[in-house]
Amino acid sequence: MISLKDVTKIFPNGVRALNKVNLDIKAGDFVFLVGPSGAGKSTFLRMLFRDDIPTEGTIYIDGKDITSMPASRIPYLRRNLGIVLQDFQLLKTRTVAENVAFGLRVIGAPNSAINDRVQEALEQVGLSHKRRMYPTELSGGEQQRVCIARAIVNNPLILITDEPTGNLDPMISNEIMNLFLEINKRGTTVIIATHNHNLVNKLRKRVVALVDGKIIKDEEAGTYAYE
Amino acid sequence: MSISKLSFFIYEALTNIRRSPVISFITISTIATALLLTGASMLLTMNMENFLEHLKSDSLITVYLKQSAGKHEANALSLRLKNLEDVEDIKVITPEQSLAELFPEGNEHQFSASEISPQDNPLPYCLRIIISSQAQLESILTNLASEPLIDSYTYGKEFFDKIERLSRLISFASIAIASLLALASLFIIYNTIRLTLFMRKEEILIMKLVGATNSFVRGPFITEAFIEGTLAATLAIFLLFVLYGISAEKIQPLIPFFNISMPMQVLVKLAIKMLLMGIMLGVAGSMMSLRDINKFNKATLEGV
Ligand SMILES: Nc1ncnc2c1ncn2[C@@H]1O[C@H](COP(=O)(O)OP(=O)(O)OP(=O)(O)O)[C@@H](O)[C@H]1O
Ligand SMILES: [Mg+2]
Repeated sequence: MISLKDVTKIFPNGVRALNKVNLDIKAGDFVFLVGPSGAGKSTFLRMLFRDDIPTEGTIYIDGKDITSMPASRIPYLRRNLGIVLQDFQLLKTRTVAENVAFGLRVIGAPNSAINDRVQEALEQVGLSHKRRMYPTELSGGEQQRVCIARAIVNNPLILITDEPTGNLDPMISNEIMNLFLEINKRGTTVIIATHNHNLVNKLRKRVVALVDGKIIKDEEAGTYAYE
Repeated sequence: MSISKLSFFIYEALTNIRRSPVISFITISTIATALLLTGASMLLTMNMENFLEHLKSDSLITVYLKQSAGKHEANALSLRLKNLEDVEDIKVITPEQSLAELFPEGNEHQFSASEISPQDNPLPYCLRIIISSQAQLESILTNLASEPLIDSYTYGKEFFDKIERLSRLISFASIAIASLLALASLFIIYNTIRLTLFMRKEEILIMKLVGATNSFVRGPFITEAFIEGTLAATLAIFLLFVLYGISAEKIQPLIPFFNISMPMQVLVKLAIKMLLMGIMLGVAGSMMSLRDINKFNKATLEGV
């Protein structure tokens, strides 16, 4: 499903955020990406949705080389991905439901389908009762969940999330993780960059540890550790 | 394009206009000003051209007959020439009348100094031809040249040429002004849309994150520019016609011999031109500023 070959990212300011990363993620995998702050986790994820391209190396998704893919194909790559970023990305001028619907609207889905899918996604994150509210009227955790609803609304092949539980209390974090597990059971590949050791240690999924842009550990049923 | 896509574009465009009324106002008034001035210069040019045409068509051809031609020949020739197209009227001027015109009363001393006497009048018969338009001038002149009785003729060529040059200058100047204005408003539209893009970068980022194509991201902006261009043109057309009506009323009494009013057909054509130009300005301006939307990604946006 996802394959990285010698991926290196050096930013214009000289920072080497990824250093010869090789990794294979199979369809249906559930992967935690751990590592200290500044290790390159976010950079790694950004390469996956072609927000940026590696300085060296190649990334394949679903067999396609996305590093050399023409810019005009990027939208179609992203329609197969659900993306939740570290900082919330909600439109303050739109309601919760409109924010979630955005993911379907831009791909030209008909209105009738949009309403049903939005309702479903909001129920999955437990926010269907707040569908008419604006992001500023929600707590940080609720905003995070709206982002997750938007990411899953189009049933992506791969869910890419950066710190999805960063602002959530332990109980909601648990719920969100259960949601990810459920989505994963339905066949979606899930990649989660996180600092949340409790969850990583509890779930015992595959753990990939990055330090200084290098993979120093990759184990099935792993624990949160990068020393 | 599907209906749902189009309605999304229109909805988004209207929402954006409503949400940033100041920017929309700037865009609309810029386009409207450019269109108003362009339309005014087009109307002025058309009127000037009509006016000059009118002046030209009122002019005369003066024909001098040979000395041998007498009263009969002059009258016969005048009748023949009257049949030519665009000849409105012909006056036969006798040598006595010419002499009187040459030396009006009170100029007797000049007259006597000229050693011309009424009994020995050297002036020939003349015809004054009034033509109703310039269109047939060439063919009238050829006809005159083939008449054996005609010695020479003058038709104020220099005057015609001067008017021709003047009207060419005016059209050129108005085209130049209109292009400059269009360019200026294109520049302003380009910049206002860049400003909107900047203000809405988060929205664009999110759209692109969830897989919107570039044309989809551009859609609402171009729709917005289209709507603004249409509104601006409507406003400009309305203002232009009102102002034109008022100024025509003021100017008309000063030139009673010339009718300022334009045929409805011409005005409708002008309005359509202005409408198309408004839409074109808006859409071209927005396309220009949306050209490099590919560069919108998370990293660059955070840098902005
Ligand atoms: N756009 C950029 N330009 C230059 N350097 C960058 C850029 N983005 C990230 N970096 C640098 O790359 C390194 C990796 O950053 P990254 O955001 O991937 O870390 P991270 O593992 O996600 O950290 P955190 O856990 O704090 O989110 C850091 O040293 C960072 O300063
Ligand atoms: Mg990060």
